[in-house]
Amino acid sequence: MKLSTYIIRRTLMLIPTLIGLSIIVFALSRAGGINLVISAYINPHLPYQLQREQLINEFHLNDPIWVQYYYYMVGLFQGNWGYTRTPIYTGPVTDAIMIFLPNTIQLAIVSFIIAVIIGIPAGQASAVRKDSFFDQLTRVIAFVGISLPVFWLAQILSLAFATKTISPSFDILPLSGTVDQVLIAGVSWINAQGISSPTHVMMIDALIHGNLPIFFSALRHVILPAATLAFTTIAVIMRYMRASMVETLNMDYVKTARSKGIPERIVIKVHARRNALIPVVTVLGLTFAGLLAGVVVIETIFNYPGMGYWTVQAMLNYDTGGIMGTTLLFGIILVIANFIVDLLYAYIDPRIRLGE
Amino acid sequence: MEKQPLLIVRNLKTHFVTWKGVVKALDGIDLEIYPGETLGLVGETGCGKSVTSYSIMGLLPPTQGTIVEGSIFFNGIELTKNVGKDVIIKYKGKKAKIKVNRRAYNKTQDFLNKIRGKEMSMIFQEPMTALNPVLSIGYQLTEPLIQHKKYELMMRILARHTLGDKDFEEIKNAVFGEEKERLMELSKDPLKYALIEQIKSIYYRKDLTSLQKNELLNELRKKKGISRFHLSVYKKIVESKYESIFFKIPLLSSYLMRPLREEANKKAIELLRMVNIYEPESLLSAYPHELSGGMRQRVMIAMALSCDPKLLIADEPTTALDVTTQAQILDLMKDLKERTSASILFITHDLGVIADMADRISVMYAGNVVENGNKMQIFYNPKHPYTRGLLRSVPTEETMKSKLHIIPGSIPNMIDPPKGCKFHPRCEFAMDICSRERPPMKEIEEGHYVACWLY
Amino acid sequence: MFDKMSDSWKPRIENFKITMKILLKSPASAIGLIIVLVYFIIALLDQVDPYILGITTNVNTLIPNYVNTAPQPPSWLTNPWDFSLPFGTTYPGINLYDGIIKAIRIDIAFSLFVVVSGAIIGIVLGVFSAFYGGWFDEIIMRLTDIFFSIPYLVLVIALGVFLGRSLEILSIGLIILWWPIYARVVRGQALSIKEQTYVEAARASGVKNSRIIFRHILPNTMAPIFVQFSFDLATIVLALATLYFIGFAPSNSWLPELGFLSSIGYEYAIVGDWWTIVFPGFALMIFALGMNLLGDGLRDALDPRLRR
Repeated sequence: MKLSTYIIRRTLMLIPTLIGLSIIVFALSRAGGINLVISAYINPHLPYQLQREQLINEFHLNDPIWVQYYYYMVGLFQGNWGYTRTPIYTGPVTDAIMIFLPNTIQLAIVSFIIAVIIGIPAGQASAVRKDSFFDQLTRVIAFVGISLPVFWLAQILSLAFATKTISPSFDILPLSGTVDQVLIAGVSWINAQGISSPTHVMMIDALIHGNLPIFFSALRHVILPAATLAFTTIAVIMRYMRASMVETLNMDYVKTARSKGIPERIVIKVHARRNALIPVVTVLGLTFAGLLAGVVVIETIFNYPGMGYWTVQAMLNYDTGGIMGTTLLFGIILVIANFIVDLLYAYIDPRIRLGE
Repeated sequence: MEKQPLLIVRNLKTHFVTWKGVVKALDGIDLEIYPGETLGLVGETGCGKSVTSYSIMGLLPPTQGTIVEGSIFFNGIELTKNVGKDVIIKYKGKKAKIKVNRRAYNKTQDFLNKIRGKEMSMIFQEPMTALNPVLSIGYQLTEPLIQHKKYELMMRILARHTLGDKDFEEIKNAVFGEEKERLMELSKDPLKYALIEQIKSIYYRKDLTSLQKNELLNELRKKKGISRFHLSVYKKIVESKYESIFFKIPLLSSYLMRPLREEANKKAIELLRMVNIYEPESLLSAYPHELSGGMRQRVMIAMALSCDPKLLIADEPTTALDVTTQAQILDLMKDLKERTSASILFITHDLGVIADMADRISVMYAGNVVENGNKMQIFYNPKHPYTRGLLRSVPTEETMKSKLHIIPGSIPNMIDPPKGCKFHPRCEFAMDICSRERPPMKEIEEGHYVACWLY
Repeated sequence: MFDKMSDSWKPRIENFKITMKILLKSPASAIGLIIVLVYFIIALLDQVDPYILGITTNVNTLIPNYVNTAPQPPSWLTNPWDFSLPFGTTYPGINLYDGIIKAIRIDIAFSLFVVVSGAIIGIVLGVFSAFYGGWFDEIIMRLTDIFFSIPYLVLVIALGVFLGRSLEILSIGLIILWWPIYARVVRGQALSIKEQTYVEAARASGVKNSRIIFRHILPNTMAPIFVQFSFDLATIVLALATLYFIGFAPSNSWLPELGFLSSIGYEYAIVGDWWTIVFPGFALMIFALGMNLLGDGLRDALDPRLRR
């Protein structure tokens, strides 16, 4: 089985998973009764009673459940994801996604990159220097990292770096928002709601338009949330990498490599690391899931308007439309992330590519 | 005129630290291997054969055990010069702690890495796990060549491109005519030697007709594929012996390496042919999991022999294979024995295999060498009670008629071994002195040594 | 029948003793064990006789003090050796010492309930899945896959919005999300055990299937389950705290919970009343730390390679 075949097979496997996901969200929405479903699709700017009749017909809410599911999916594909009513935004769910998703993507990717760049080399170094002072230190840090409640770390870090609690000189990072509002006022490629074009991700667009002050402002706003999120993820990745690397270094083929007179740094880099990464990569998908869960908390504490913040607002306001939208979307993001991880895994391990 | 031994092991003691106590795996063993001979190391599982090979190669895991006493000399070089300095065991009554001095240990490993793979190499027992699953066969096979034999690779390229047609003809005729003395004369010129090697590999191929061989030779003669820049740099490097410096400069070194990798691949194919693998070209890009156990072991042998080592350590190379494959591999090794001039340390528990392969035999028991002699002496005149027990317990036609002979008891606890001769609890000839003092090695006939109080 | 059962218990008790010995050798896991024991004792005392711990009010709710709502610093900051308010108070006037002690009981009880239920469901499904294989196995595996594709927080929030934001719904939601992990762990172990010869021997001698499952296969899968159990207790407590922190609880709820306690003091913490968030969060972290150390130690102690 060549690599292309594997990719095609894996892509096809996406479909049942996505269908399963949609079924779960659908089932959830119908679990609370018809009225909750209706409230999800009601346009707040138009009269209620009129729409109620329309919606019952459109989504066949009096028909058997599988019929409802069919029309639900039809609605999804036609772009009707319902309406959301929260203090920060009221309007169609699809528009809300346009506003909030890019910020969350920005946050998640920055955090993940930081976590991987620090976590994997740290885990490797820890394993190579097993039982040394460095190793013990990193293990302690890793332990603290996985035991820390994410919200607590976020609070502490905000106190430390965004307020004057420790000392005025530490108050260097902003406490909320995605970017300094003063900077974006009147900028041509940012519209009134704060959405930038063309990619909607503020940092990338700032670079595209060559506007460095906005880029750095966005960076400053994202650093604290990303660092908080990354901390716990680093701990997880580091522990997995260390365990995997220790096990790999005991393998026979490492002994063979040494018996060939290969210098130790090449043994570690070429022979050990690649094998050690394999189980770590399989776990990366799960770690990303944890990251997305953390996003919900982090955005709330830092007032960072992304999917997580929106989700919490929807929850507090009983906003069924918003909840359906965010749940589905979070699921889709995770499925895609797992897909990418699987592809990475196939790239690294030739046994998968060529079939065992 | 006595030849000097290639490998001398004297009073080697290796200890492992476990939480149950200190395992004295090797308790003062002596070994000698002469150039060109095969020494068989026989013994039961657990007697320390593998530990011996790891100790010689310096592959003992430093957090678990190390050489604590004794010396190993290889080709005149002392391999054990850092004993006691890089990995230290502190004894506390029955238990002990092991500590690694990272810097000293790294120095030792760097020192050993110049010898390992190049002068001394090893084949392992489990071919299934000994190869790295995520690296191609080609990469793993060419790895030692690129690490140790850059000079030779450059010479091969230079030989093809700088020697004239006259030299070509002269060498070709010498090889094809099998004129051994002529070849020895010509081999004195390193450039010509490199060409001889390449022509030889074509000549010895059994799967080609003369016509095809001539075609390949003409291919060799064509001076294509290497830029003049490469050639001139190689010339400089080869003449000045400043090889390592050139290859440390980042961009330059990867540029220089490209033709060398190609050349290493060619050599790898030659090596695979030598171990009787058909269609070796397709194997280079294959991965270990695509090969059978027998093929993997052949690849390991090819890898171990790639840099023409003086000593090959074969640690139970056929134990994990089925009987037919075992026979194939043994035949292959016998064949290679004749073609190369390497010494082999052949470790096994199978007496039948030893009888086939070894010139001399050392018998090990519980961390000591108990008997030492050539093949005939050991098989037809075994002296040590353990050796005799071993030979008697091999089923033969006569023994089929009666009960199978076994040596009573089991191997001793290596943390707390018996005092005196370690075999005395199981020995039918045990005397009083056997439980008090360890017997020294005595020469009972020429070249035949035993460690037993009976003599 | 009972003497047959005690036959199989003796070696297991021996095993247990060895495990404990190895566990206590490592200082890290010993500390973990101590921390966990302390927390469990507090929770237990809270249940039977809270007066010993100094709690005089209802254990199931936080008592706000509307007379004096502003957070008070810990008493020993202003008067050394004065321990009347060991952790200070938070908005609105809740004694943090009381709050934390009560919350520990609630958090641990909840977490135990969720993890045990999830484990039982997961173990049963997992071992049957491994044993019978076939389409049953396939379905279970696909189910677990689907559950792994949604971040748990989001799903529980969704459950809350559609079915009501109560503690019951929360626990059911978490149980549903957690059993797949146990099913997977058990299934993996059971599959490897199933292949071993003693199971085949039992089958060949006609032992009933259910007996095989429960007497032969299941007991040998327990080791990684205990490890997973310890880690999950920590994770669920953190999950509950996180959910209550973002406001999942019904708006009139004063349920003592560590996450909830951390959230109510945040506006005051920003302007200087740091104890309102440090103490509740710290209590949470120490529990998670203890549980993680214990789980890690258990994993090392039960690893067959390290037991030699």
